[in-house]
Amino acid sequence: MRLVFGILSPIFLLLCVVAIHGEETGEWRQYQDEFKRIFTERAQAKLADAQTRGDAAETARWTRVVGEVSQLQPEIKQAFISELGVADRCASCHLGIDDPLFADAPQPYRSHPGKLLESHEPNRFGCTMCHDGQGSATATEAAHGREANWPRVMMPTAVVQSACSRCHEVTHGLAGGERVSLGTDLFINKGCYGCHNVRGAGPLPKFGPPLNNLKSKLTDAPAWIGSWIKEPALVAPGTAMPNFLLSDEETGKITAFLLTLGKPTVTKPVVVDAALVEQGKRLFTERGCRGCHGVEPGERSISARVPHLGTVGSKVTAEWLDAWIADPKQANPETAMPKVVLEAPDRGAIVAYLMSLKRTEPLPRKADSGKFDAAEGKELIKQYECFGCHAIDGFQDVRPAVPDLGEFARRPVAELDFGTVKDLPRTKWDWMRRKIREPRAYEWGQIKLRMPVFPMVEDEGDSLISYSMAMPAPALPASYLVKASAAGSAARTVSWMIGRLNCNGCHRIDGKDAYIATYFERKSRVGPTLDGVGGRLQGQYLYSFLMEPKPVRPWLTLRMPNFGFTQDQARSLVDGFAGRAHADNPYTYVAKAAIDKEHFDRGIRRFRHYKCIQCHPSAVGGALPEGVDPDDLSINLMLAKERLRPEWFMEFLARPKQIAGNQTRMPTIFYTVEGAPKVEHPDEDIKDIVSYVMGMTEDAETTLKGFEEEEKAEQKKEAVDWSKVQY
Amino acid sequence: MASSRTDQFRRKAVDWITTSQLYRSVFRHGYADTVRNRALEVTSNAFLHLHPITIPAHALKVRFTFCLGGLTFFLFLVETVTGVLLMFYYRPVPEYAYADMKTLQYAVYFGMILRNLHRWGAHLMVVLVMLHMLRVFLTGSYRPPREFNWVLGVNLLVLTLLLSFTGYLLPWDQLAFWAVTVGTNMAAATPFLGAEGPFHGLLGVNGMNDARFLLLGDVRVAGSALLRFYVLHCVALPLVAGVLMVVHFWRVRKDGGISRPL
Amino acid sequence: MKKEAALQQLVELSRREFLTRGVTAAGWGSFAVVLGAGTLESVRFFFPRVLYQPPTTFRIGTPEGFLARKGDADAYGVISVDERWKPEHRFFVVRAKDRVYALTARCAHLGCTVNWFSSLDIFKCPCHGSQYHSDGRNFAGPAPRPLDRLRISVGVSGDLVVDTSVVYGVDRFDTEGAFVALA
Repeated sequence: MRLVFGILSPIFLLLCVVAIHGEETGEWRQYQDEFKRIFTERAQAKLADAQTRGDAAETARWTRVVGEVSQLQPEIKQAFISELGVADRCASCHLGIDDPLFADAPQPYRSHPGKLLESHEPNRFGCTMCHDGQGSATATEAAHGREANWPRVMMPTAVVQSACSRCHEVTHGLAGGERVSLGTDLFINKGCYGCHNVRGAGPLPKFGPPLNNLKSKLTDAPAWIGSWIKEPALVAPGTAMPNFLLSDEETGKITAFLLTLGKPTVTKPVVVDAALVEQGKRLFTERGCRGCHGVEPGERSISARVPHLGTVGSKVTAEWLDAWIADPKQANPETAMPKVVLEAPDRGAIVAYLMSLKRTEPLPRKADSGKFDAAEGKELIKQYECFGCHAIDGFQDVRPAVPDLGEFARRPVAELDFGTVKDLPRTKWDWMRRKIREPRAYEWGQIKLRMPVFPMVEDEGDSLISYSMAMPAPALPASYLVKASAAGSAARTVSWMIGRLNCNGCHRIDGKDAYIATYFERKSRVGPTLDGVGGRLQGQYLYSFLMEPKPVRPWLTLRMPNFGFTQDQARSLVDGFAGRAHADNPYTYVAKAAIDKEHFDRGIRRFRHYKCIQCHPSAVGGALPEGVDPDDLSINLMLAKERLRPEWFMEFLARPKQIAGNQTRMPTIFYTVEGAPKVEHPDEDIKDIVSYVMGMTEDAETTLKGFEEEEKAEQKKEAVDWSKVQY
Repeated sequence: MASSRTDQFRRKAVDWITTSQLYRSVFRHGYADTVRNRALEVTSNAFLHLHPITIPAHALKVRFTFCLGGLTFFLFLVETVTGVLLMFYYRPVPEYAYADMKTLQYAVYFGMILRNLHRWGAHLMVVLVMLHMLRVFLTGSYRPPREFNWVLGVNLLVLTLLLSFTGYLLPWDQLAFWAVTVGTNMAAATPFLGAEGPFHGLLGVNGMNDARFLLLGDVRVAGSALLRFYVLHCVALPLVAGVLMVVHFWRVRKDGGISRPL
Repeated sequence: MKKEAALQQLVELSRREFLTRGVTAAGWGSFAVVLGAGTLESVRFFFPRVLYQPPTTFRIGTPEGFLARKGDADAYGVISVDERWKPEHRFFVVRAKDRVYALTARCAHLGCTVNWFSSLDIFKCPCHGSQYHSDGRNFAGPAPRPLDRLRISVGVSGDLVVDTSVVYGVDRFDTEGAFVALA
């Protein structure tokens, strides 16, 4: 008995020692010791550096820091935010999180990247509010949420931006929220919204074209449809149409059903004149078609949604094509294709050109629709819910029944069905990455999945995941929620519309050159940049221009097409562009009364003096001066008073190259590119000219006639040598 | 010589202490090592009085009882001490319960060890109670005159299980939540008294007045269930178990002392 | 003599007895140590390592930012009083001629929040009308002493940090921590 006691008792002592030792050398304690070492090292390096430089203030500062560091005691650091019920102890190991000294330190000491902590004080937001994980834990695995029954695993960097949406209703324009914003855009531009619900956007048009009249649209409908739905990418590489992984039988049935729709339309046959092909080819570029559509092999369309026209001659009938180009909205009221301004002969040439583009190799499939039952095809369409993206007769007003992504965002990972997949970490993002890559991966037993395979690059997938997991957190106190501002939601709408309407085809946007720019030798031949357009143009003007474009730039062959915007769409575009340019009220303009006579009169003289009229003829009637290359002409300044914002105008005169880019043909008159004044009173001159132009009531040619005498007298005084002016 | 001086000094000191009023007010028996004093030592001491004054030699044979009952009682004490300590940092409110448990684990000195002692102690206690019962059964110690003590023991077993069950909810994690949801749903299947049990209609029992509702204080596991389970776990059940244990131990002595080989 | 006797006693011990005593000593010794350590650790258990209180340190910008504020000092050496942190965190930041310090907005009388009247250049308490000069010195009303100052220091990131949990009374206004000197 005594022996047992004598042995057990020391064993207990040993256990006790182990327990206390474990408590004293916990993981976070070790990290704190290591942190102290690194901190001392770095602070001393800074101190030594300051001493060698002889910087007294810095020396004092770092001496103090070194002293403070040596006093550091191990302690659990906790950010407690009672409003949120958050008590995050992450900083117990992530000790350098808000200290720039640790910007390049190894983890867990590295400071937070970016400037996010400046607007999100850890004191007010904690860590887990954005990152998830288990803030109360002080051991690595548990703290990062990798623990049984803890629903909120810490999000990896790839998808962490989904947290922005917990507070920010709109993430467009937020620094650090690019990825979730991109995901929001992709969700629309990839057509996910066809089946899944989308937050924040109103009713959107069907993503794909209507399938109701394929018989008269396609030349060889049975073969083409069969090949297309079997594997779209084989028929048109890079298409947005996903692959539904259909069996040959299913393909045949669906083809059979689609061929029963619509009736052959009796249209006047279109005569294709082969002689016009070359002209059509030139017009295809000059009129901007190529801004969106790829046509040569190897060339891409601006987006996957825009068809590549390289083989269009074998696909559609000339009648259909002609009618389509004449007015796309007639055939499909929801199409993004605008009505391009084209005279009938030009249209004929383009049709001729397009019809000459034939498929070199035959379609992958033969027509064999005859032996399949169209009724079964209809059942399959019901099953695969093709009507999510396409208008199909018999399926009007039916919404696809698919999982709600808002619910997905709320669901804990434990409720996701991983099917028979074993090799995947049990997180939402891993689940979804696989789902996007292999939509049928989680099929098992009775569970049949229908989601098709979308062509996707990894980064796009992660952006979509960020968006899908994003959801406003209803439990947060109101003081944390950032409602969408009018400008913010308009900016989001613009972002969506730019993606849908492919503005980038002809305009420079977000620093990305116009897609069509490669086909023009002169960079000035493409449409004006849309960066800052909201700050450049008066809202009222932009609105009316969008609703009904009128030519402004005489030298362009491209013409802004009519997109057939609704009033709401045009208004969102105007608001959104203004929001993007950080311009406040898009409807301000200078009333004529506000322009005082003195500046106006001086402005006339300055206008004449700087020979603005040489490039900017403003004679009413719009007839261009003869014998002048349109490339040498610029915008009619009579339009300026309703077009331009005066503050932009003044900026532009002072720094044309910085604002409009180097391709502008506007010379630098008042300041050099570096910003040195080139004339005696640049600011006054600019102000005067702007006053004049914004107040013009008759064309400058007429006005200036009255000043010819004065001009002569003045020319004697100061002569500008135009050969030396920098263009 | 020296040692006798020390002895003398010691005796004097002992005399001084044992005749002091303080000592005499606490210990009601003499200090001298006499048979009488030894008996008094036990009978007049609150902690020892449950123990027999004389211990039969067979009681020292560990291998007959393996001291399973005693160990169970010891674990009960361990659970009480660690449990009381845990109570200092735990609030039985849904908003805090889980967070407090995590605080105990990660931010309270010795909290993790205490929590684990409490948890594993509880598991071990259930095992020991079972083994104790098995031993009593195998040695036939449930037979007259000990049949009442067997009944008491069975009650104590149920109480131990209830203590475990109520404690299970307190971490307020997924495991706890669903385990108790399932556990209390069983109560709903009780005949007559459970809303989903047979014959419940006869007594007009429905979801708002059945056994499960009584347990949870709600129709689902929520704040009131947590509070109820907490009070049961920390106050009501230990109190009842304590009383039953007193009687259980008392009856061990009164029913012929600790059981022995026949 | 005594030592020798003890040694003698030890030598005379039989091996068995020696072991027995050794085991007993080890057993009881360990028992005592475990008990002692357990008690000690249990006591430490009662000292929490984290507190559930709102944060007490606030970054308020760089010293250079305050240095950049130009203006004439008033009679109390104060150039400007910054009220930005008063509504939420209850302190003012005072830029004096050669230093920056943080004044608590807690009235020295009964703890109401005082207000700053820049046009009058004084702090006034809404409850019982105590008044303080721009440097926090009391001159009217029931306030018994000047407004307390809070710990202010230059954090590692170079920002000024105010710690509202460390308070300096009038006798310690010039101690380190109660102000940050501006170069």
